[in-house]
Amino acid sequence: MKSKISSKLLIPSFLGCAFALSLLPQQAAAQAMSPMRGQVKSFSDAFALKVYPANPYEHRIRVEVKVYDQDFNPVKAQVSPANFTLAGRNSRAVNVVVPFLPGATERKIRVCTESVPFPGQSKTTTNIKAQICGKFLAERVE
Amino acid sequence: MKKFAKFAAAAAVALFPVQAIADTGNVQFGATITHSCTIDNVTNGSLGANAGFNVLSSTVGSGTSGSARIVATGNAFNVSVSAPTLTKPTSDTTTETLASSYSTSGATSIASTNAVSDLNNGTTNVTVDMSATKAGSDVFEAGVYTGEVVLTCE
Repeated sequence: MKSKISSKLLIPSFLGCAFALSLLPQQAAAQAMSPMRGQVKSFSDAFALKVYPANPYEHRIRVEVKVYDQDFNPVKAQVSPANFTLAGRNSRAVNVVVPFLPGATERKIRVCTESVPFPGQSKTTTNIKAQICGKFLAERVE
Repeated sequence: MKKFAKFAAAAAVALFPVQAIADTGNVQFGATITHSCTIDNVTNGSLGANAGFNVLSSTVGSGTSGSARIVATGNAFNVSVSAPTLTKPTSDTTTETLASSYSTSGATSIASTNAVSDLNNGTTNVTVDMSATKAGSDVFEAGVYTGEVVLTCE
């Protein structure tokens, strides 16, 4: 008797969930980050930044933080964490350590927060990848 | 007895504390808005093929544009799109020319372009398009094609 009742309840529940899931908007991830401008001074051969990627949505998103130069060429840097998931309406600190180029007294970089679609989320044939980039100038103090 | 009661009532009223001076207080509410740019409401698009199967585009046939919303809490931000990338079936070995563009409305109005543009403070709606074109007699072979455009606010 109990199993009959539970099966009667479960089937509509599953159908309801499946229907609700099918109505979810097929949206790609969004991005936000702060700060987006900054100037740092460093006494060493490298400089450190802290940025705060944020998730403006209610649902979780996967985020990747990358470092580029002025021409959007990738820059070798230590990003911690570089790839993570963010809960809805949340942000978290990401530490970025970038070396100065040999002999250079300053370095301009972009720190970009990029969206990473969850596997199987995108069923369309064009994906828009949101990218928020902060511009930072680092000066080496002798 | 009645007189006494009236007297007592009058005395009670006279002795009732009266607040002569009203005081005011300020209740303050504070907020700090960071200087930032947010991209949300990102909706992917789709590619349609032309009759000759040498053009795949979000503005051709059943293709649809992608869209997004950018919220800028200050000036000095700009928007741009990257050159698109196209993932294609291995059987398709010929090259194609890729192009992307965007247009905006709302706080910032920009006609279709692929150049970097300044963003105004406020909410801007962005429409993103991409296309892939085969040259000469080449056509897109049967299979699944996936394009990607990076929309950047910086």
